[in-house]
Amino acid sequence: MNDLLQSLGVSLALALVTTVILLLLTPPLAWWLARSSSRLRAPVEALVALPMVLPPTVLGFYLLLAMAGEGFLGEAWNGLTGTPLAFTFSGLVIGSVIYSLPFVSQPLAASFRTTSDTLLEAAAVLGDSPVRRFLRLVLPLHRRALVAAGVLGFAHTLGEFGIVLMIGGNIPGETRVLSILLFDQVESLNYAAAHITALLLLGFSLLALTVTYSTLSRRP
Amino acid sequence: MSLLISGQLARRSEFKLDVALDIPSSGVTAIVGSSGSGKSTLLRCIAGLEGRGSMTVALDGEIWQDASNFVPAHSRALSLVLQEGALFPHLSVHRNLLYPRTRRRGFCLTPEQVIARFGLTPLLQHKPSELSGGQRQRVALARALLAPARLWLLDEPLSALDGPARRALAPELGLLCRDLGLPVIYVTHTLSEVLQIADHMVVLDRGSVLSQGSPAEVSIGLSHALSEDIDLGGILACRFHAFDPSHNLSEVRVGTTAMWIRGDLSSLGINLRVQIPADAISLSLHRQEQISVLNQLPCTIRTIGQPDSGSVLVNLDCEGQTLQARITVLSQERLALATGQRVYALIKTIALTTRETRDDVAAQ
Repeated sequence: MNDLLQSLGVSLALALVTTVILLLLTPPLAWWLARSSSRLRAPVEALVALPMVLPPTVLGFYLLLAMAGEGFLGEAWNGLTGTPLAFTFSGLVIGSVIYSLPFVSQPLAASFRTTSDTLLEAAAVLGDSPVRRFLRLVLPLHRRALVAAGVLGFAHTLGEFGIVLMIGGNIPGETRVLSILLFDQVESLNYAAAHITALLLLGFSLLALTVTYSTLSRRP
Repeated sequence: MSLLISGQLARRSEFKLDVALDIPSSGVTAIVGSSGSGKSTLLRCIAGLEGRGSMTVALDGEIWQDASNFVPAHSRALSLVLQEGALFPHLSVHRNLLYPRTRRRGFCLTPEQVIARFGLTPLLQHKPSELSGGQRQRVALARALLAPARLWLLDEPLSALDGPARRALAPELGLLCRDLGLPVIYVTHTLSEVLQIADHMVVLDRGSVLSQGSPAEVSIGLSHALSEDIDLGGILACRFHAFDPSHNLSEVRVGTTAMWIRGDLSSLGINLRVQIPADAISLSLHRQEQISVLNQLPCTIRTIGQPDSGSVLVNLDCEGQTLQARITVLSQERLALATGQRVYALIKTIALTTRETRDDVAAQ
């Protein structure tokens, strides 16, 4: 039971930190993806969507190389903080942000695409600069999509396994999240504990999706 | 002091706009034209929403855009009311009214003033989706008055409204335009909307300026140049005299001559303009006694135009003002009409009131 609570704590902390970072980073990116006519848009969109199709282990493998002591991420991190990045909670957060990015950016971009030009023009004529228009009009207009994207990002981070295994390992209280705990429990044939862990993850995922879909289907 | 707009705007190798306009920066300027004439594009250029790099716009010597400069829309001290109002759907009426940024230089009212002026108190907590079309447009007008501006732009502010809502809002909007003290540019395809309030008129056709000047000048000039869909005829300045409720007729005076117009015009003020389409006028050599036509204005023929498809335009002097009548060449020959001759212009009262949605005359 102690293991379960400890892993639940790590999982929730990871998902929370990841979601907060994603909700800060993603809206401008999604707005650019939804509205830009730049030639760079398609390649960037593909890059952002990559984690949806790539096996998590592939992503995890490259991230592991980058986060290693001599990898560019690991070296930069070590220079900044004096600590290694691989097999730490911070490393997990970076991996999760990349891995969950498309799950936050895609619903947001889809919602942003529906923004009426007339409303943006009205806001401009009323004195709002592009940045103010984004903060005062676009974000409030799409607040349901923001909530839905946040919940989806949170739930998806909670359920990740492959990347965590590659870059986080299995350190109790630091990097052992619920999905890893479940794997351990099954490997050691502890089915009673595995049932509880699995049920917890199942219930939470179902709840998150229900919240997402009911939020999105309500009228703006 | 004036608003300059000039340049050419092409879209997909087709000219959308090719103008060189110098509009007085005071009073109400009406920009009239059918759809596709470029009038909304012109307004969007003034607002900074279009025409970057190709159009020059300057207000009282301050350049808003030319080949190398561009002041973005949010930094221009102007206010624009869009066709459908463009209220923010997620905000209450009150929050919509508080949206404009007030740091720009220019004239604006306070929220308390506009709420009182437009009677919006009962609507403040409503969402735009709960309002009728007329209410939405009133909120949009009120919101535009809260953004500091030196110029007021209206893009077909009444076109999204149905007949009753339009008739309710039009006189109010007219009063507002006159009271504001700011230059107003009013874009419409419906002449009657601006007939009573315009000080200056610009008529656009296929992206270029067909005519500009005072409403009376423009209407006379246009009868020669056009037009399938706008029969402007002449515009007579007259004074409201009395309303006869039992016959639902208003009596107005053109100089000393009485004229009847359907409906109660008392709310429009003393000085009125009546537009009389050239097709609505018949000519007679004598006053007719046994005839249903109420309006018989004594006139002198100034000129007779060139025959065109069997009809001619006759330019008439009516108490020093100008009217145009379109009659057949056959009638002209039978009556032996000639320059300098005294005639009566017969105008069916009904012709002055029935076409209220497109170019309804005098009735609001």
